[in-house]
Amino acid sequence: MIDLKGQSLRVLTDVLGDLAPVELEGMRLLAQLRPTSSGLLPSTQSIERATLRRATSEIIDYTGRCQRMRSYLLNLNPVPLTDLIVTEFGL
Amino acid sequence: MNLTEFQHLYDGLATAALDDPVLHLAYTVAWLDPLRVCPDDPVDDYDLSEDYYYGEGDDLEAALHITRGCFPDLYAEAVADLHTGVAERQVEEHIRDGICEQGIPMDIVEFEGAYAFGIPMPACGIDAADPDTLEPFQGQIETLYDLFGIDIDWDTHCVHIPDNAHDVALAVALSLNEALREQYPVYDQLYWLLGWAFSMTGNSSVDCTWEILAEFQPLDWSPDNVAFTRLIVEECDQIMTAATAGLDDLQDNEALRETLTHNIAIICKKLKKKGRRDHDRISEDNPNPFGLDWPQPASGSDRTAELAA
Repeated sequence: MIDLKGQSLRVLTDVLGDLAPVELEGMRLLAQLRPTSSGLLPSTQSIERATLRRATSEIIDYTGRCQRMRSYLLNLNPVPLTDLIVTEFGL
Repeated sequence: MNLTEFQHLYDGLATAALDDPVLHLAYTVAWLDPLRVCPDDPVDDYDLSEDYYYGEGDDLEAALHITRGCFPDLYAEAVADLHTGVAERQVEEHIRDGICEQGIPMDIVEFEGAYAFGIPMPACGIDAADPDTLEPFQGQIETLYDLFGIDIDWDTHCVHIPDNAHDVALAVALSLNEALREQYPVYDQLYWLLGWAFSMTGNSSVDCTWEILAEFQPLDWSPDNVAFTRLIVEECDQIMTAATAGLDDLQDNEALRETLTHNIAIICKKLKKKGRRDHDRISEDNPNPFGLDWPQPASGSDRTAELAA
């Protein structure tokens, strides 16, 4: 668990930035087949259909989760800081 | 720039893209899930019916959006087929067949724009008052309806239905309790036959004719609705198998017809005598208020068992 107490936003950003990239089966397949100059996207013919189905479902699920997380972050509720005194706003 | 230089440049760009995790992911999404990066129809805002309403509907596009949400395996195969150059029409047909194989009857709505109408459902229902719906069963259904006093004139397309026919049918069906039906499948078939013939099974696909079902707003394409429809269709198939077997049984089994006739007569007599509607008497605690008796059927009348075998 990341202890956020006393950590600045910059530290949190660094921590998140240092996380290892997610490993998805589709990305592994793409790296394995590599795009060639004969086509922008590699052919899927050599991939087993079951593997392809699994990889596509994983990508749909992952991007869907990312999309939902983005929506949550865009609509975060304010968090009241009860133990923080800001004298400038004392009035 | 010559072709060799261009190829080197392209390979360099591809390598750079795969070395960067974000670009690598974006490349993978564009490869396996092209709808996610489609600029005009973002997957989250895609409105199936709006496109068709404005005459811009496209069956393949609709099929891809639907499979992406509800049948990801079919979507993966469709995208792979498109990558390999399979004709769009053929891809759409594969999707249609795939959806059928997964229990949703896309084969009953084979017209352009069918996806926009929502999840299709079969309508196996018949309406005793509408001879057009009875015609496919002409020669068999009269055997049942005759016992309830329903008279069909095929020439004039007129039907006479006694006022109490549905009430009597309900009383007969409810007297066939679960224990009895479990013990004697012939009575289970009779139960479902009555349910279908008088539209009282509770399954919309069994009870509704096309005309009636068309009055309902179809379910939207969502994984939950697809699962729900699949259950309805499965149940409909089971009920229709039993009801059809029941219809054959009634046709061939004289003893069953006699028992049914006897029990219908008891109900009609008591209804006439007491002058009350059977709905007032039948309850969960008292499903057989008329005390109908269902004797052990003669062996060899279980059509469902035969069909299963």
